[in-house]
Amino acid sequence: MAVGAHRKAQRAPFEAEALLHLPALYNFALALAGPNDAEDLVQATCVRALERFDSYQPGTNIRAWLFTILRNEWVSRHRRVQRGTVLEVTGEEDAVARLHDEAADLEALLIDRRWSEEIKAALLAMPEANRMPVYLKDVEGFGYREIAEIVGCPLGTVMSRLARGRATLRAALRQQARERGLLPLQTDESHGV
Amino acid sequence: MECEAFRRLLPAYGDNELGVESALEVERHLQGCAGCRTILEHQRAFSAAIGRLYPRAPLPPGMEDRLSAAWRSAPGRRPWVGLLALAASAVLVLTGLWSLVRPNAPTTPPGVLAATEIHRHASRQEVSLAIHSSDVAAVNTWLAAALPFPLNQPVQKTNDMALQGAATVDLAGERAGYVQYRRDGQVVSLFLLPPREWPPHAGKKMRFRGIDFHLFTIDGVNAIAWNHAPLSYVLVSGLGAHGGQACAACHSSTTDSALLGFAGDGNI
Repeated sequence: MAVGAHRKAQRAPFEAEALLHLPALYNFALALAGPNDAEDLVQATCVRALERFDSYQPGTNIRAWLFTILRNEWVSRHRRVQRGTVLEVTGEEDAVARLHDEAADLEALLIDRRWSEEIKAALLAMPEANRMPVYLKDVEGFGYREIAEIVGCPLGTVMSRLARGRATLRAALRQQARERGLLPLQTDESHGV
Repeated sequence: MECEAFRRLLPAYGDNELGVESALEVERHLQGCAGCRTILEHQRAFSAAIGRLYPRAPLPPGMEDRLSAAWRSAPGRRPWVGLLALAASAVLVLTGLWSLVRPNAPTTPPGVLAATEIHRHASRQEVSLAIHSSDVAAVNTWLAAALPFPLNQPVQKTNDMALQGAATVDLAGERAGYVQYRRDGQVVSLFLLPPREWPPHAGKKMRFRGIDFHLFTIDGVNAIAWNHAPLSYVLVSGLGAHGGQACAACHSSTTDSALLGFAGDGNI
């Protein structure tokens, strides 16, 4: 009884703390589900989080916990899409090959906000399995273990998908740069290494 | 052939996620391989650019209100829950007041609260540095001259964070040193204080290499407080793993496996 009252007393601060992460959750939902479903997904996530509040340990990483719930909510809504997406993932060999695509030209260009929409478009165009580790690591700053928890896959899979995702993103942005005349058309993908 | 093997490790190394033995091997290789160093620099620059430039959308107007309404009507929530919440809030307020007057209460020490507040200002570029320098020796020399208590070269050389400079600040009524770093585009704040005992039950306590670290999360900002003669420290950042990723301020790299054990567990 006392424990139940204690949990209830913790609920108000839990709600307040969850609200702090609302912008990040909303942007994660945008990256997962797009603008039409993002708010609904966040709202369902927050209601689910409240229902599961008893499993939340105060002082632990509420941000990763909320992201995990959102991701699970998304998967449960779109299992069929999810399976299709996973099939698009390329092989490990491809990831290793792309890992070496590290030409020096692109980073020097990525210095101002003119690239923001290109980065977003290129990231959102990637298969979800590769997109999510890149988003969670480079945009949200989660560690590998947290990403593994959120996306529900082993640590090694996170690492290979992250490598693939970054390589894909880099190639897409380099292509954009070529089309805008910022890089020479004949730039060789392998010239960096 | 050797580079081929190391380049597979560079992404995890660049993300500070590699174990200590592998990281040391990578560092030894990097010392003699300009090609791999260049790749690492580009990897880090690319990731930092993505984080910096990816556009964050604002919340749709009224979303917080709609969410609050959804919470109020969530299944299992009864009309009397509002009253309970009110009562709970009152209990919390009273508990908070009691914790202020109770001796040895497990609250956040004022110095840590003040440090997180200054860090927030620093993150909005509202804190002026008295010395702008990435030179460790220059910053240590300046701090030794500016602070009224003894120091012992508190700023360490680090590979993972960019030293910005230093200042002195008023930390809950006492003069403290402030050292600013940047990592992945974020400000990391290190506060240097005269030695003191942190309350034994303050924050989440972690013992690491014989030192008690007190971990706090205050409105999304992570703070770590500890003592290491001749100073006490507070390290504040918005970085992950309870702020453990900011430990690179005092370690040449957060790739130390023991440090990963400290910083990488989301359930400390």
